[in-house]
Amino acid sequence: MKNKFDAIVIGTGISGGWAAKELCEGGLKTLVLERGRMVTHIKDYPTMHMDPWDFKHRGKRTPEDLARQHKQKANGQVKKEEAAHWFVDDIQHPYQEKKPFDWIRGYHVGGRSIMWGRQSYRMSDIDFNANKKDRIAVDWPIRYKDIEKWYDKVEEYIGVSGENRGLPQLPDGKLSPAMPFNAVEKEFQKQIESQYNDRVVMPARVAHITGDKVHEGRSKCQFRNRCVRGCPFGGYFSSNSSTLPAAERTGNMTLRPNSIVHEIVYDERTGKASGVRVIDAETHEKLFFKADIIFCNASTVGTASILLQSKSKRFPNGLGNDSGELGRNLMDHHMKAGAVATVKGFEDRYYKGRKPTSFYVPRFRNLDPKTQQKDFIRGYGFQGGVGRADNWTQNIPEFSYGKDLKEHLLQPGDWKIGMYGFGECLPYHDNKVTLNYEKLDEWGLPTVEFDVKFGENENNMRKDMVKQAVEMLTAAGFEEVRPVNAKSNPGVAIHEMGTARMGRDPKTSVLNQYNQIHAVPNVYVTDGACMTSSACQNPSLTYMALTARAAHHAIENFKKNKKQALLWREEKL
Amino acid sequence: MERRKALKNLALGMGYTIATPTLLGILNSCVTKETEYADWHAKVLSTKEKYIVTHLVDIIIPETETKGAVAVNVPQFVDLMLKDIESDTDRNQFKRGATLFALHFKEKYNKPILKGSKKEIENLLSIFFDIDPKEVKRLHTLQKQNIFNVPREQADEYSLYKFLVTLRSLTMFGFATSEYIGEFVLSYDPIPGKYDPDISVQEVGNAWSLR
Ligand SMILES: Cc1cc2nc3c(=O)[nH]c(=O)nc-3n(C[C@H](O)[C@H](O)[C@H](O)COP(=O)(O)OP(=O)(O)OC[C@H]3O[C@@H](n4cnc5c(N)ncnc54)[C@H](O)[C@@H]3O)c2cc1C
Ligand code: SF4
Repeated sequence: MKNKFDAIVIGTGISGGWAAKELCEGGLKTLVLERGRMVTHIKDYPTMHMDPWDFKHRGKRTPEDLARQHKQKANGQVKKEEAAHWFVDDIQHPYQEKKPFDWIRGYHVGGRSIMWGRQSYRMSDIDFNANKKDRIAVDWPIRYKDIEKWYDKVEEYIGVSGENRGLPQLPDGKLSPAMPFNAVEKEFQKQIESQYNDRVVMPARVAHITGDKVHEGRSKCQFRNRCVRGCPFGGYFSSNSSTLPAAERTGNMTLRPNSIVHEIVYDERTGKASGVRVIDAETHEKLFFKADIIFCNASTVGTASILLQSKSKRFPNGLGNDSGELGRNLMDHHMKAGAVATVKGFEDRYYKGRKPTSFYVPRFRNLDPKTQQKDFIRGYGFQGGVGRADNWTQNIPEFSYGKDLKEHLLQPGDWKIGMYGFGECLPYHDNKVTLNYEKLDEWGLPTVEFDVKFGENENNMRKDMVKQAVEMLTAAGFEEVRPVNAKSNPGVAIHEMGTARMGRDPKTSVLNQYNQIHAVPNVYVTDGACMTSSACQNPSLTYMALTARAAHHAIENFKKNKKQALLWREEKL
Repeated sequence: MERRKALKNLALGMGYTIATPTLLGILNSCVTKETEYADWHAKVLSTKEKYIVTHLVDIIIPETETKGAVAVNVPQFVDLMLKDIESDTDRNQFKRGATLFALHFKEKYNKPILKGSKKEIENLLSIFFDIDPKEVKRLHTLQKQNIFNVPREQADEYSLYKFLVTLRSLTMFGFATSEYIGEFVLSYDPIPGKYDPDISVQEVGNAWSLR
């Protein structure tokens, strides 16, 4: 195998897939390294067509299997056989916790783009200005105008269905038709929007194809709601269905699975990174690949780990860590707070098709002086779900049996509604990951250690999430309204971010406004590590937009440098 | 016996194509006969437990115009789930509960449960299931407790209901997720193709089988 490339991308998840596509389409010979196994679109989705009875235990998992994923199972998908194979084996991939942290991830080509929930929301200037306004952490080095056209590009390419409502806190997007509301969603929207003037209920924006626009190699969502298993129609966006095939089509991509990157090598002579060191996950063979440009997309914590391991004389504490901020300011969203209710009066209404999403209530707190709260800053959005329950999974309270029970089981169950907040977390300097060189993994590499906890702002915000959810469901006239405030360890929202934040000043941040490491400009970090604040929107759309933007910056510089080198050579001749 | 055997061969020979109502009717009529539970080899249930479980499963979801839980192999499913999925503690509690159920039977009818009829077993179940809603609530709360926190004098009640409640929910689960119910009785639609947000229940009929 060749060992010199124009560019290297580390990781094939949501952000890495975009880096691969853009760099390859820009003409760069690109090596894409992925620590996990190969997953080819459609061919490698073993459960995509399986019905409940096709699973030996109807989808339930054995205690032995669950024990191997004792951390991953904090996410409900891991408790079911249909998708558990997308999540890592915790015994083989251990990590340490000073305080509880649920690090939920998948090591395979496509990363978490296969299992993600596809919720896609833009950040606004309220978010990009927030740190500066509140004098917290550091200011974002970009504003909405810097990223807007990249949001456009990404949304149009991946396909995002939803609705534009012209809200300052949730900018309009380039959306395909929304998935329509069912009878109860409509009722909820009507009640809330007529009773509250500060909040809207809209169809969730999700990365599914709904319109007639052509997306090469993919087709419209068929409403099967089996997305997490991998979709044979390519109905939702994943690296496997979308960006990686696009990169492949250019002929410029070399994809190497089973390649654990553990160091980016710094070259003192050039002041740049020269390449990456890799261990083959299967053979344990050690390899070195060179490139002019390196994109780090191993996901927030994976990237922090690689950079922290990349020690040199110039960077004794990790590559680009002049500020000491590398690995710090780790954020997530906090979740599992909200309310549930039963809806009466729609017993004769039903629907056809399994809609893979439901409604969204965009942030309505701390947007302006009118909505300012005394107990917390920032805000949260509600994600909801509405549908008729299955009577056989519902815990029927009485011990019924016989003909009546049988009859009951076959009927559509009660209408249920649930809404849960996704809340912004502040970037606390003390929330960090470090490396543990005493507890090594199978490949002799250090494991990461989490020291993260939520603060008062998050805890106070949760109380409001529960209160507002209860109030809204009650206002809508629903019954059996119950508050939910379940334990939510940091990490469980799977939106971890911030370990190599962007900023204006190299003394207080790791990356500049183009996601380049301040002191090592040929290394770009465009996964969640780059986030300066967390906002409350699901973040992946922003990672994609920032990645596309950074890739174009890298391509331009690459071409400029090539031209200069040519000129310089000609002069010498 | 002759008729049973004949029908059995018929069923095996036909594989998936047994979904016509008349044939289903014929097949159904033989499945709940007394000796049915002898035809398969249990992995964790003893002979006695298998007898109790098969009868109770049949009582919880009986055959009507459509197959009951026994005909869609729920007893086998219960045996499999006990073996592979339930924890050691839960499995032991289940078995302890089954033993207690058999003891209650012996007390009531003065004969071993293996000699009990379906009617007799149903009468016994009724004593434990047809109870005051307040009592049901109390028992649910008791079930949620960790076994190690259950007071000694309530241990038997705990085990007995562990058995009955687990069996009831496994029966519902195994029945509703079986191929026959999922494809032919509930409304089956693996690839809907589109989303119709508001239609009447009549247009669909029984509930959708897939989530
Ligand atoms: C169940 C679930 C639901 C979610 N729902 C949503 C949602 O609705 N909306 C949303 O915005 N986000 C959602 N997310 C989060 C979303 O998946 C992540 O934000 C996103 O995938 C992050 O992209 P990434 O490229 O940074 O990392 P990933 O997608 O995690 O990809 C990282 C890749 O890098 C590889 N890698 C790691 N370390 C190395 C190494 N040392 N060498 C080589 N390769 C390496 C990994 O194997 C992986 O393939 C969800 C996640 C999950 C699991
Ligand atoms: S809901 Fe749409 S995207 Fe999801 S699996 Fe079905 S067809 Fe694919």
